[in-house]
Amino acid sequence: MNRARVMIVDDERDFAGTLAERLRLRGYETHMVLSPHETMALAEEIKPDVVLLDLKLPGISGIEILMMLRHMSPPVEVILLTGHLDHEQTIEGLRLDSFHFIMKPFDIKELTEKIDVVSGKHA
Amino acid sequence: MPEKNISSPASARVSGDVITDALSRFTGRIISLFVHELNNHLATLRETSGLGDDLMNARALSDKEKLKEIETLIHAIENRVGHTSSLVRVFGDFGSHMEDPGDSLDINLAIEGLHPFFSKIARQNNLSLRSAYGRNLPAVRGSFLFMQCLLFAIFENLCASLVPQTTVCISTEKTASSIMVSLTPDCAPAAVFGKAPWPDRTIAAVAAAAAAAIDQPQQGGAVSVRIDLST
Repeated sequence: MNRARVMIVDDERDFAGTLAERLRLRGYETHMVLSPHETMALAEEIKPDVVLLDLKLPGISGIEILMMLRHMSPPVEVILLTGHLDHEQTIEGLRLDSFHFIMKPFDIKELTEKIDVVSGKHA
Repeated sequence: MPEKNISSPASARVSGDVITDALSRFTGRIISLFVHELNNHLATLRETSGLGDDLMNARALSDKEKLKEIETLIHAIENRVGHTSSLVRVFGDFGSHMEDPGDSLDINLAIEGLHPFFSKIARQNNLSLRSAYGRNLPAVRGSFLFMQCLLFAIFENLCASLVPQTTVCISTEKTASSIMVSLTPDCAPAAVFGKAPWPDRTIAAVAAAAAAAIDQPQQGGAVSVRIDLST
């Protein structure tokens, strides 16, 4: 089974931990970052195939982290986790730049399908 | 740091449009914060219940192991539903005060009604909150909604000007002739400020509508709101 290495960046511990466990049960290698300021260091270390990134993080904009991840070499694929569309233009801009997003709460099947497509790795 | 005094009710000009805009914006912010927090709870509940389903189907675990894991998940769900219910209750109270503003208010209740939203804003800015409410404060004349709008605007502006990991203490006390609400950060303001979310003109207008006077000698420093007991 050749499933993606996934890094979850979300400050909600219960949510991130439970999601990580569910992805692990489905064969994904998962890593969690609860403090957004540690994101880039871990990303450099583990080289994830996909980052699941919460759009609203404490102290730093999810968009800022997104841009940093996309500027890595090679660029990291990111799926934004967002609770609601509070800025339609932002979301539209993200679409134009071909970033991916999924609305919380989501169906796990929808998420894993997206991870597989974005990473190019399938079971 | 430039001195910064916001007008007292006597000097502020109250504009109907400014007030209406402020209340709309305040209501929108509250709804936005509530929805975001509710969504977080729902997402966690969904993942937790989904994990229970995954474990039930996991071949690697014995029935005993599965039961133990699921028991833990059930408690987690119960806990999370409790938090969500509290949040919904606060939001319901907020709606009730909008429907029936009344003409007097308990300051501590007004602040408590905002506390979940204050906590969320503080978290988003990497700040901590502390409360120190005076006891047996008399009710003051005024609108619950205007007062909450004022306190919310002041709080958001303050948070935008603080360095991360600052603790903000929200306190209330009775003086001889007034009720004082103070928002006091535990360290010096940031050297450079981002744009304050709420313009001074808006805060001055809402303060006048709330029959309150604001004092903030230094931008990013402690803010006090005074409500005279005689008004």
